[in-house]
This record gives sequence, C-alpha cells and structure tokens, in this order.
Amino acid sequence: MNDVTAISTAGLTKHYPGVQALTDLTLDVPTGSIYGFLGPNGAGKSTTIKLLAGLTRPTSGGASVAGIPVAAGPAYRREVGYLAQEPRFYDWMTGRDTLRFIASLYPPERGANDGRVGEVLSKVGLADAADRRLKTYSGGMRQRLGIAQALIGRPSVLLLDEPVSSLDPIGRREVLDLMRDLKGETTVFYSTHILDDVERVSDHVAILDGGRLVRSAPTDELLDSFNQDRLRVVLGGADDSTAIALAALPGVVSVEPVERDGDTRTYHVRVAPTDATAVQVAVTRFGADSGLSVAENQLVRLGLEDVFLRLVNTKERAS
Amino acid sequence: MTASTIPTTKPLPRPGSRTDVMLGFRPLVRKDLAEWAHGPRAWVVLIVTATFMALSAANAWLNAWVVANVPTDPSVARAPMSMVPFDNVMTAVGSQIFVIVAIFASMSLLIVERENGALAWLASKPVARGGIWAAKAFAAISVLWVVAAIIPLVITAAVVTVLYGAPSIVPLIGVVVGAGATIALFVTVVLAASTVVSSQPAVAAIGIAVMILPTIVAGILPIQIEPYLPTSILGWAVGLGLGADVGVATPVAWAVSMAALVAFAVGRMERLEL
Repeated sequence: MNDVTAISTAGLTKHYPGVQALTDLTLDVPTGSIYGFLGPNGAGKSTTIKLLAGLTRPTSGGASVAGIPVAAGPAYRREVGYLAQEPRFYDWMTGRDTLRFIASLYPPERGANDGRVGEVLSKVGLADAADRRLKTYSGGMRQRLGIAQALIGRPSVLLLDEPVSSLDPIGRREVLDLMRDLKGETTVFYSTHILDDVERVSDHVAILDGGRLVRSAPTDELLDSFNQDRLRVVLGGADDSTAIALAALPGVVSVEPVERDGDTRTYHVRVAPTDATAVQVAVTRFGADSGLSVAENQLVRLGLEDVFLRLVNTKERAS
Repeated sequence: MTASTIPTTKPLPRPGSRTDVMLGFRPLVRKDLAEWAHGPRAWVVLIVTATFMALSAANAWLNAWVVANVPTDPSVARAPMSMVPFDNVMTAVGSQIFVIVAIFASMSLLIVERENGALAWLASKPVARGGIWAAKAFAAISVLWVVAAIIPLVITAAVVTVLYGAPSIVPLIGVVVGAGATIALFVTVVLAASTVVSSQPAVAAIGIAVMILPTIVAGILPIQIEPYLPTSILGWAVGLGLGADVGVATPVAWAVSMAALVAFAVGRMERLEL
C-alpha cells in the first residue's frame, strides 16, 4: 500500500460451504481511478464489494482503503462510500432527509453538514427534487441519491455494486455521466457486467471469473495488449496455398482464413505481440514477391467485449 | 485524487470500547423514532391495545348489567365478578394483550431491513452494528411503552373510574412500570431472536414461547420458581405497588436477562453476514 493506492487487497478469499465465492484476490486500485470490476454473473463481484464494504468477513486475506484495514471497523468505513446493487432507503424520508440522516452518522470533522448536503444534491442533479418523498423517485433518481449518500462523508473510495444494471437507458446515461464526473474527486470502484459502460467510463479494469482474478490493467493497456497479436490481411490474387505461405513467414504463429470473395481472401494472422511490425513488413514483401495485391495489412482492433470473452472463455492470460 | 479525504483529528476509539460498540446510537434512535411516527404501526398498536384493555376492564360492569337487565335461567349459578376498581385494572392487564402486541409490532423491525438491504446500507456507514441494534430496541421499547402500556392504561383507568370508582394510584404506577419492563423484556427477546433467525413467524414464535413456557414450567415444577423468572416482573411491580413483600429476586433476574440478551444480540450483530 502506498499513497497512490486507494484500495489494496491481499489474498482476499471468501468461501461459503460448498461455494468458493472469491479466491485469493490480490489487487491494487490506483487513487483517483474509475475502476471497472468485470465478470459474468456469479464471478464473485458482489462478494468482493461486500468484503470491501465490511459487510461480510473474509475467510482469509485482507483489504485496506487509504491504508486503513477493513478490521478497523467504523474508522475504515469512514473512508468508504457504498451503494448496493438494489439500494433500499426509507421511503418516508425525502432526498434531503436521507442525506442529512447519513451525514449525522459521520463525525463533525468530515464536514458532512447541511452545506455538504446541498452541495452533493446539486452534484447528482437532485437539488430540485430534494424535498420530495423517495417513493416518488424514479430508478435513476434513486441511484443518483445512492451515489450522493455514498459521497456525503467525503470517502476516499466509492464502492458501487452494479450501479446501472437495473436502469433504463436514460437512467443509465445519467449515472454513468455522474460517475465520470467524479474522476479526480474520489476513487470509484464499481462492478458491472455491461462491457460497453466500462469502455466508456473506466480507466482501469479488472476481470474476475469463477471467483478468481483473470486480469487487471489500465483499460487502454489491456486493449492494446490484445491489439498487438492479430493482423487482418486481405490479399488479391490469393489461392489455397497462400495461407500456408503466410504461416511460414517469420513471427507468424497461425493463420486463419476468414473470408473469400473471388480470388480476394481475408486472413487473421496471429503473431507474437513483439513481432507485429516485423510481420506486417514481411507480409507486404511477401505480397510483392508473390504478385499478390495487399489490400489490407493492419492490427485487428478488439473491443473490450472481445477481450473479455477471450479472457473469460479461454482463461487466456496475456503477459 | 484531489481533495476528498479530510484527515481524522480525533484519536480513533479502541475497538470494543463502549463508545465504539454504541457508535451512531443517537442519530439512529432519532431515525427509528421518526420511522415509528411516520408509519401506522404505533396507531394500530394503540387502538388495538386500548380497546381490548378498556373492554376487559368494563367486562364486570357489562356482565352485571346483563344479569340485571336480561332474563336468565335462575337455576344457573353465576359467580359475581369483582367490582373493585383495581381488580378490573388487573383484569385488563392480565390479558397480556400488550405483550402480544409488542411481540407482533417488533418482530419485523430488524428482519425486514435484513431482507431488503437497508441493514447492510446502515452497517456500511461509520456506525457500530451494536448501535444499530440498540437504537432499534430503545426506540421500539420507548414507543411501545407509551402506545401499548401508558396510554391504554390511562384510558383503562378512566373507564374503571367511571364504572367502578377510582383505582389506587400507587399500584397503578406499579402496573405502568411493570408493563414497561415487560415490554422491554419481550422487545429485547424478539430483536435478539431476529439476529439468529430470519423469518418473522419464527421470531414471533420465540417471543410467544418465552411468554407462555415459564408459566407452564412453573406450574409443573414442585418448587416455586416464579420469583426468579424475568417474565414475573409485572407481578413483582404490582406487588410492590400494593405493599407486598416481593423481595429483589425478580428485578435481579430481569436485569440479568436483559443484560445477557443485549450482549448476545450485539455479539450476533457483529457476526452477521449482510
């Protein structure tokens, strides 16, 4: 743990009888990041968030936020703002009542006073609805109120469990925009299975599957690591022997014909990530030497969904 | 990150210290009292308990009126019912309606919040779980003492005064205090049970078992155990109000039971997986 690490977990493990919900999670979440915690249903995302919120005890391992271990109890929870997947508030309260109540649970030095309540209500766009009973709030408003109550005590980290999964497109957009606006103010660690959202707002990502961490990295770095190992090559005048000839080029790992249009054929050429440029040069030379027209010879750009599926389905771990 | 963390200037409380165990108690009590005030539960308790107790107290007068005004078979012997004012207060109290109502009114307090996630939400804040439990217990005991005991007893005393004459004040105060202690015991039992089981009927069953079983067991055993039962606190308080020599075994048993239940519940709260 150092001053650039907001959340640190070491060997965090939670096993229930017959279920290994989370096994040996070791993760460092950089301060100020919007950290997407990805995984299919049952991957252990909610378990991790609950462990980090101090709501359940680990079987082994530990976690800390801003250098304070979970075991510190209330002192730890002052540094954490938590929003559950389906947050339940008290419907007889107004939005402002809810924030005032939560603010009253923090010590005075956290500055969670009426001024802070107004400030947070404005931040989440609920200033106009602040004095309405919660039973009149839409799903998106409730979720924004959920983020507001998590922010009220000026936590070091926001833990959001599937913050947009139950929202309609408008509510989802509102909450994602709000999360993006929080960058620089606090660290946001959120779980989701909606890959598009992660690509839109997260600067870091971790992928969990079967209770185990598959990969964690800055989002761009993760995508780039998968964008260095596959070329899309389109050759005019190619025949059945062309794929074999391509596979024989230095640095090529494998060749997969993917499309054929007359004598124009498209191949996915798998290469070692460090050899991509050299292979591109070799393909160009091969085309010229073989009398083939090279219509395309570039790296395949994978989206996060492709990367996620490759990692989860094949447990492929890029170095 | 820019400026989101304000350093803590006060020393952190020691884990397990009294301050730590009850952290957040006051604002949580305010919230729980406001919740009672906003819902219909307190009104329902008041109406049911007051009506039942007032009618129970009026039973002897109604019975006498029926005997006097409705022709009946003269061969059927009828024992006259007491028209002594305090006896009729005790008839109303003896129904134990306020205990049953307290059990049913408090059986959902913790369990519903466990089920819907509100308890997890609160527990994620910088409060002690013991504080959450204690605030619920304190608010429920305070409200139920007023709406299931004090107000219904005032109404019952008024009915008794109109129908039979004014009851003695000191024993009546004993009833009010004893009813409060009994409500406190059963709310504590129910909320402690709510930390162990997660079904409202099961919690209610535990509360009712605690209400009934001691009486049954006391009836079976050849020795006198009532004075040592915490559930005898109402009888003890009434006896004290009437000037009887009631000893101290019952309030000691009550206090020890309460302390044990609170310690158990707070310990369970700390271990709950939310």
